[in-house]
Amino acid sequence: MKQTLSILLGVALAATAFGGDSLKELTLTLSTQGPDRYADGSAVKTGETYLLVYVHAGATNAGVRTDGTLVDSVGNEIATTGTAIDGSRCGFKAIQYPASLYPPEGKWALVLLDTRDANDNVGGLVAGQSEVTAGINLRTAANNNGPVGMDVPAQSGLGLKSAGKTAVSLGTLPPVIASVARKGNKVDIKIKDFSDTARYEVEDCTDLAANNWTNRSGLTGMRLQAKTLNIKPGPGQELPATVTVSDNDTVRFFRVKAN
Amino acid sequence: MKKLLILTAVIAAAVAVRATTVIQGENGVGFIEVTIPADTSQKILSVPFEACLVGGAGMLSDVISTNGMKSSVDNPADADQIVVLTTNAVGSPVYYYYWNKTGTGWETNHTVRLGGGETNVIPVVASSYPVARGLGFWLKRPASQAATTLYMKGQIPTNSVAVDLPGNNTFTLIGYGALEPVDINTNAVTWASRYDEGALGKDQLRIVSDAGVMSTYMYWGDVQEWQTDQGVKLPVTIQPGEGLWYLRRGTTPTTTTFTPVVIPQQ
Repeated sequence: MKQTLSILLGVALAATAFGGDSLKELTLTLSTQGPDRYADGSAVKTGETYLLVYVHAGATNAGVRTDGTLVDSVGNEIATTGTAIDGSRCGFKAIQYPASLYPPEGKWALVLLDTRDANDNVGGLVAGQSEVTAGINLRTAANNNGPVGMDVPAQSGLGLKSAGKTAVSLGTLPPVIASVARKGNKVDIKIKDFSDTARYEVEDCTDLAANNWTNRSGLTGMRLQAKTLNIKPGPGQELPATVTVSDNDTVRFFRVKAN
Repeated sequence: MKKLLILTAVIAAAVAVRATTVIQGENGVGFIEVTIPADTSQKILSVPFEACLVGGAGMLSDVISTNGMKSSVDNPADADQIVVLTTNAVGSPVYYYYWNKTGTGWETNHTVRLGGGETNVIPVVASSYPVARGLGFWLKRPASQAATTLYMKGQIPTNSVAVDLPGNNTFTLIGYGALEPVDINTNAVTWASRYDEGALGKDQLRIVSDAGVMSTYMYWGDVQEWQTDQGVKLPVTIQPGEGLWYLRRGTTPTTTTFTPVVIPQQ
């Protein structure tokens, strides 16, 4: 670890040495003080992903899609990624880049992804995203030639800027429920036309006229995904979902949506 | 001009990054439970669902669950039976009998002519017999059975379904095909040319209660409603999954259209 820090420090010094040159390389360092939290208030899990997004002048941070690609791939660029370490914080990360790559007219956004799957493991599709606004340490070695660095002290509260919904991955088809079967208080639903870059959520209701569709399975029910189940999309393939209902249910309707 | 260009560019950028956050599925599905009281020997049923994926009629074995129904290893008379009214190859009305065979499900039994008389025709297998929304059928139970429930399942209907009603005093088993309780005078049914030619010549609905009592409601053309034979309009509710008889007094066939009472909102 000490050796790594020494190497990084060396890189930073090397970058600074090119100070007044318009072609200079800059060094950027990133970390957060933590503990960072997801939009639902729970502590960020070790291994979770942060994105350092460079937002070009005139653009806004448009977020990412479920598969992790940028919604605005022209106005936004992922400069680097970070990983959550013990303490629910973004571990130290340093990159070196040409100063002209991220001009000072732009700005930085640190985006915390929520990649927890139905089993509460990180590494799944992007279920949520928030822009981190507190406790960020982001500096360039010569910030007069790069976008303004962030050095936002830790604050009380979540330190998140409006948790955004994740855009559906391009090419995702409307899912189709192929069958429904009840076994006691479990209802098995099979979904066709699914993608491995989309999350699926089953909603149900008992009164169609009231239109009160709800997700009975909570967060885990919103993160049904083929990857977790090791199912590949294709002809004849179906994504299974099981919904628990009341033993004395006399009527129940279901629908599915892709996120 | 320059400002206009900048403004245009900003709007274009905003449009370019607009992204969908939810894609609703193409269909909804569900199940309903139909209560079968104790000692019910016969009950008129009707499936309010469509088949999954393709819509339209579902196959009998798919839309009517055997879960909770009485089965038998080798004796149809000891099992719950589904009896559907259809026509044979020469157009004569016949009943197809299916029985709940243990480990198999709805198994074909035999065919009976309407009005009595067994035929030698074996019904179409349950996995190939289409049970359309809007058509009714019977549940026939062995004697002295405890109360149970019958499940129907399938796709929530989004399309109207037409049911042919032959003329000349013909009875047809129908269902309103609704997933919500509906009054017999609901506007979710397009009754084409209902017939009213006086007290003995009115089209009729005949509804059998759980206690086995049949009630008759006649079509009164002056008010275009189903009412008692005394011309009294009563609140009569058809539960999801229930069926009834339609007696067509008119000499000409007609077609009635049942629309989905509630189309699921996306």
